[in-house]
Formats: sequence, C-alpha cells, structure tokens
Amino acid sequence: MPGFIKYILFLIIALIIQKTFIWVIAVTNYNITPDLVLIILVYISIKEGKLFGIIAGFSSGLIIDLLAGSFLGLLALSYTITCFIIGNFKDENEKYLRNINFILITGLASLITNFLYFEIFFQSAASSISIIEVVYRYILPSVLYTMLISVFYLFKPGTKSTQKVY
Amino acid sequence: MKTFWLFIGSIKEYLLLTLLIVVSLVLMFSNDNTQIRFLRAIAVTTVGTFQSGLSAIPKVFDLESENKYLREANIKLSNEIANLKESKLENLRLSKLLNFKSNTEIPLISAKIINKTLIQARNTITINSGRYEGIEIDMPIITDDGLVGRIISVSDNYALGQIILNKDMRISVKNQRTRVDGILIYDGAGNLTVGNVLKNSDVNPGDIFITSEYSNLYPPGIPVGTVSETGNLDNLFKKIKLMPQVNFNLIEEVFVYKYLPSKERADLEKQFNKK
Repeated sequence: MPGFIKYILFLIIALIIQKTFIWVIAVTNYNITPDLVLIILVYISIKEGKLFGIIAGFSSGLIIDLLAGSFLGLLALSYTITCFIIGNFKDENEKYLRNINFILITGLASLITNFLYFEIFFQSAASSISIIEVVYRYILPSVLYTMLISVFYLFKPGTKSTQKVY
Repeated sequence: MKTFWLFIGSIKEYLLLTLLIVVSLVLMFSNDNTQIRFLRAIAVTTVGTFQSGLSAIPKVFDLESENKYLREANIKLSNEIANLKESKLENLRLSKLLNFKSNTEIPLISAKIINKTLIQARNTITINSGRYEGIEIDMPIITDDGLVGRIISVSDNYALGQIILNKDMRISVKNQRTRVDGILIYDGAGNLTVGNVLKNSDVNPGDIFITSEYSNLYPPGIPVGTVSETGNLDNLFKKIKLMPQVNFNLIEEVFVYKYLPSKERADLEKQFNKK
C-alpha cells in the first residue's frame, strides 16, 4: 500500500475514534482525552517531513473543527504549526521514531498544539480564566494523557527499544 | 526564471505554512459565514447520528464518581423520605390530640415532652410548657389514651411531671366495669399493680381501671390501665397487674389538665387525719 494512503487510512481511523469512542476514556472534570490524531500526525511529520506534515495537520484539523462545531480553523492552525515544528525532527535514521524519543516529541507536539488551541480559544472567548488555570486544567492533563497513549506506539513491530541504528 | 523556481522550491514549506496559516485565520474570522454554518451543520448531523448509537457505552473513568454521586444522592433522598414520614406521623399524632382537645370541655394545655426517664424507680417527664402557659403544681398530665401523671415542679417555660411509673405515686382507682376500688402502685421494677382489692372482688383481665372520685389529685374517669393479670396475693387481697393505657415509650406530646385539687377538701381531710 502506498505510504500516503496508509497515512490517510490511519488518520481516518484516528478521527473516527477521536470523535466517537474517545469520551469513554475521558478523565478529570474537564473531560480531557488523549489526542490520537496528533500521535499519527507526529509520526507522519517525523517520517515524511514538514511539507507532508503540514498538509496532513491542516486537513485533519479542519475536519475536526468542522465536526466540533466551535472555532473553525483553530485546530487546523494549531496542527499546521505543530506539524511544521515536528517536521524538523525528520532524520534519515528515523531515530526520533524510536524509544522514548517518540513519546517526548509527542509530548512536545501536544504541548504546542494545546497551548495554541486553548490560549487562542480562551482569549477569543474573552474568558476570565487565567493562563495558569488553562495550563493546569487543560494543557498539562492533555499532554500527559497523549504521551501516555503514545507509549503504545513502542509496541508496534519494528519499534523495539533495543533496535540498533546504523 | 529557473533560479526563481529553485528559490521557490527551497522555501515551499514556508510558503505552504504561510498559506495554510492565512487560510486558517480567514476561516477563524469567518466563523459565522452562512456557507460554513451549512457545512458544519451537515458534519455535525452526520457525526451526531453516529455518536447517538454509541451513547450506551459507559464512560469508564466516570463510573466511580457517578456511583459515589448516586450513593450520596440516595442517602440524601432516604433522609428526606424519613423526615417526610416523621412529619406525617407527627401530623397524625397532633391531629388526634387536637381532636381530643376539641372534644374535651375542661381546658387543656398542650406540651411537648423534651425529656423523659423510664428505666428508674422514680420516672419523670419534662415538658416545654410552664408557668407562662398557666401550668401549676399538682395539675394532672394526660393524653387521649389516658393518665400520664401530675406536675411536681414548674418554672416559667418548663414543667416536670411525675408519671404513674413512679414509686412515690399512689392513685385511687376504680374498675370501670365493676366499680371495685383500689390503689394504684408502681413497684419500681416495671410493674404497675392495684392494691387493696379484696380477694372475692370481680376483676378480670381486660378490665380497665380509671381514676376514682376518691382521689383529690385527679379528676374521676381518666383511664389508667388495663388488667393484664389477676391472682391471689394472700388470703385477703387480690394481686392485680395493670398495663398502662399510655405507651410511655412512644409518647411525645401531652396535655396538662387545668384542674387543681380542692383545697377545702384537702384541708378538711388533713384536719380529720390529725385527730
């Protein structure tokens, strides 16, 4: 199967789960869920680079925005910028797709995305909630939960921590 | 020209990024656009239909807190039900007492029992009415069931009553059916007996004893107790056990009978007894 079709397929599956089943594992009073789409986008950005990453990020973000019913373009913007930054980790040896590197980069991506998203969201909504509260209530739980779920990526065949890089 | 395209090629990622950011910003600023609202409505309807079919799936992390909330709500509702039942029972009791009060010609003062002792030899009750309501020492205490006792101490707002389950109490009583007289005595161990009843007197289990006109403390005719057991005490007298008419374990409200013993009669009897 060509690479990009595989990515589209993974993104569609992640999108469906994200919009349907994910609330089953929501935590805290603010219904924090892991960002499965972002995990796939991180993988695509590291694997294929910035160009492919920002296209995938923008498209996925736009679809979620459409389905979310709130700020159209906000998640598209957040994902686009995040994928551009994460695309810099593209490496011929794909060392950032292995071991704990992937989890840490996913954490970084989640931090950027959530920071952009929640900051713009609460600022535009003229909310009285402070940035500290946004970080404490939404951003940190989202980042940690997404990182936790990204651990499962390490169990993907060929992603063993003992695998040597030449 | 070739150099231009090469330059464009080298910065294509930045150009695309700029373009997509601009598109995102345009979309963000045109959120109320009719076409976008229409597009969003279709998307939300599609996903909403799909999601409604999955709404039966429980939210696992919320189950514990939901259970806790439901348990708390359950306790709260149970307490409310208990309070409502309590209010209903109180209402029934008070209605019964009010009915009794309206059917009695002699003025009554209603009071609530705020303390009582039932396991001692000298049992008493404390009520929440006192001198201000017109209560005086020696006034009888009754309920719609029968005699409770008499007032032995009174303050402005409270009064202390000696109930019939008290060793110091001696009351002249009469068998309602056969008019046999006797003296009501409490032995201090839970037994209410009628003494001074001759062996050949007609007293059977189920007979009701009432206050006698021989008593200077209580008006005649107030039910006191029902005979639960009879036998022979010795060769001369009967042994009669009474079950009080009033259930002292459940009693909560009482009436103080505005009746005082005749002072003239008391003085006369006192003078005669001195001789």
